[in-house]
Amino acid sequence: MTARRISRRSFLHLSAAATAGAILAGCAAAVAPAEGGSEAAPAAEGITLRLWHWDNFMADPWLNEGKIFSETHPEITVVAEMTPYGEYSQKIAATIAGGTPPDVAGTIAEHFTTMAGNGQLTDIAPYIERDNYDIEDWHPGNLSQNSWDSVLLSLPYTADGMWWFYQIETFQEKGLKTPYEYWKEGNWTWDTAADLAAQLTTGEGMDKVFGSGNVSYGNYFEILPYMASAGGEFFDSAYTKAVINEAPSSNAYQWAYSMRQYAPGPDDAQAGTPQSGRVMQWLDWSPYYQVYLDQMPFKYSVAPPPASPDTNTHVFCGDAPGFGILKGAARPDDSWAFIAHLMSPEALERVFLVTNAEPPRMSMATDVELWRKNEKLPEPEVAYELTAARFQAFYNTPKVSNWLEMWQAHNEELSLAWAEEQTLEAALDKIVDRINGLLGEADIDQDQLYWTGA
Amino acid sequence: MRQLAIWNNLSLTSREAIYGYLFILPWLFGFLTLRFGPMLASLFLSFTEYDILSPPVFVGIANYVTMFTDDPSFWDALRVTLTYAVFAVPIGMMLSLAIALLLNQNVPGIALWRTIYYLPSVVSGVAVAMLWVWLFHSQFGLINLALSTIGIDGPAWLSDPDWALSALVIMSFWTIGGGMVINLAGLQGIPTELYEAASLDGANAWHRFWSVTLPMMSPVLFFNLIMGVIETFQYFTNAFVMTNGGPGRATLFYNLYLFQNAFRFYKMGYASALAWVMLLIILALTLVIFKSSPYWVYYESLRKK
Repeated sequence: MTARRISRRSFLHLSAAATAGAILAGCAAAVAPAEGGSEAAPAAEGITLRLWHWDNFMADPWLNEGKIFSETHPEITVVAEMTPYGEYSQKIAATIAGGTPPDVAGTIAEHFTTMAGNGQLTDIAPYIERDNYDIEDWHPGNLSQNSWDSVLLSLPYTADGMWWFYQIETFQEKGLKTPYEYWKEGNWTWDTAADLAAQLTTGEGMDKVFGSGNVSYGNYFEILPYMASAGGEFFDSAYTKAVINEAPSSNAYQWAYSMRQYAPGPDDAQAGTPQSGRVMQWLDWSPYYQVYLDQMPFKYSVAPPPASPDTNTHVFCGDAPGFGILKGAARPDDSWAFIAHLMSPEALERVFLVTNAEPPRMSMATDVELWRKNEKLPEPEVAYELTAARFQAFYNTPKVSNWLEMWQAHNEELSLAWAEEQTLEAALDKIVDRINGLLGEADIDQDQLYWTGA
Repeated sequence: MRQLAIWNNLSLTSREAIYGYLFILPWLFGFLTLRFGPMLASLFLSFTEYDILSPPVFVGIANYVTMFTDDPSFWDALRVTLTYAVFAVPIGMMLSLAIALLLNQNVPGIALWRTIYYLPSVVSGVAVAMLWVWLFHSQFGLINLALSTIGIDGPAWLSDPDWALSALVIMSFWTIGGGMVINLAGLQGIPTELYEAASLDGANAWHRFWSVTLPMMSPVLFFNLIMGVIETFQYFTNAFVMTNGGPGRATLFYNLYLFQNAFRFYKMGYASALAWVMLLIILALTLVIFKSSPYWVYYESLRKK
């Protein structure tokens, strides 16, 4: 029998047909379910709970809590998927749109309003009622930041603030009273901060030592508490217009503007960092009190942000990042079970002792013995004092759905003022005009519960 | 059997065409699902308010009306992008042609020089942008250091609204190697007898460049011009990393503004409208360049007899 040979043309014909068939078969197999989370979790197989967050230094402590949680929930394995903060909100939005939201989602003011305003977070009040959860241990102001239209949508895992850091040894060498000492005697104000900055600023060029870090207009957690300290507000009480161009709100911007002369400029962003040792005092998040231990080649301490000399009220930013359950999460009951575990006093204490993430429970945050237990803190009693002070006066950022767009306009105009391309007054007027135009498009939760002064 | 009969009745041309379509089927599938389909979706979304998190709401041409009548940032972004194009594209083309002329020499080691000039264009992205942030530093950046040696006090490039865009234009010359390679190929395709004939007629170096090199290179320059204009409207990474559109809106490029609307403000509908307007602008500019080409682009095959 003669073997049949396949001609080159026939081979090409067959290859083309096979390729087309493979593609069509692949298309049929690749159709994914349109909604995520609508199918029931497999009962017999293990469950993986995905926790999403942005702070890498919190990953290990939470994974450790996941292991502890698994001891009582052996079918559940917790995995932490950390995303850089700058990309977090986009990725969360993509997972929601794609129907594969994480089981436990970190929330923070910047994107909470977007998610909450669009109904993407699950009301957790039914869980709290069902489990008779001790929600009274949370400060109502912190709960307010995690609520929308009076519906609690996420539970804060911490309630931190920005503290004023300073290099202790430099102050001692120069015989200067420290910000903490000024605070204790009731005289830690914008004026004393500026006076210290003036005395501490020396040198030129690469030898320059900066008496202060920037009082940054770009970070609303920095500038808004100063505005509140001055007795001001961002919007009027009815949210019809922005009022930052009017006293006393504008006083905070005036002070921030005047502090530029002592602070690193935009060009000093690389070489003028606190870690460089060239900045004598600066504002940063409270957890960094512990994180800085590995980064700073000098001894540092902390004080509250300086107060407006008109009110002498120290206001902290009221940031209370939390965990929530996104709509479409596959296993909301398991998600809540893990969140409840994370918020238990035992878990909060374990995480606090490793990361200095202040417990959101007032009973714990105001327990000086707990702070003394944290051997990693340079001065635990000072940290305790600041936390106790924060509960007396903090400012929650406004809950406006297009807050980021407003803040973009805010930063664009102020960057021109800082570059002396326009006056500060003109910048504030333009910001108000632009923001007033955006107010009409916004969803607003006017329940902005915060404290400014005991 | 019936299908085989139908197949056998087809002409060879028809059968060849069917085979062709089958072979391009993978690409066609990818194009339809990953390019054309999303483009159609984007066109639809441009007539809606859509924030990803909730269903799109049809708003008609409101996005386009807002863009042209109530959004100063749109005009600023367009101005910044066009200003960048006006300076970066022609200067970049001239520089790449000049470098190509220099490298079109038959001397020892020329291959090494060609590689050196081409290397920066294959190194791109965030790392290069951070490098240039240091180069532009007002106090110890190499650029201001070089300027200081000739008595010039350099500006605060990236933090000065008057100089930030200029800094990005200067940075664009880092990647002229890509255009240089294309120009080099074009130069090496020019028949040498044209230069010999010109020399015999008494043409000097400038005359030979102006009357022989440039006309023969005009198709390559035409291509580089169109690609340069298109790439300008896609300019994003450097502005995002180095200035984020600032100071003020001094470096708010169109593509960056589109990104901000889509992924920072969750205004996907408006961002889609911006994208389609960008497409129309690029089309219009490309058409203008094409319409102008008969006046300055020389094609040997179209030479009048």
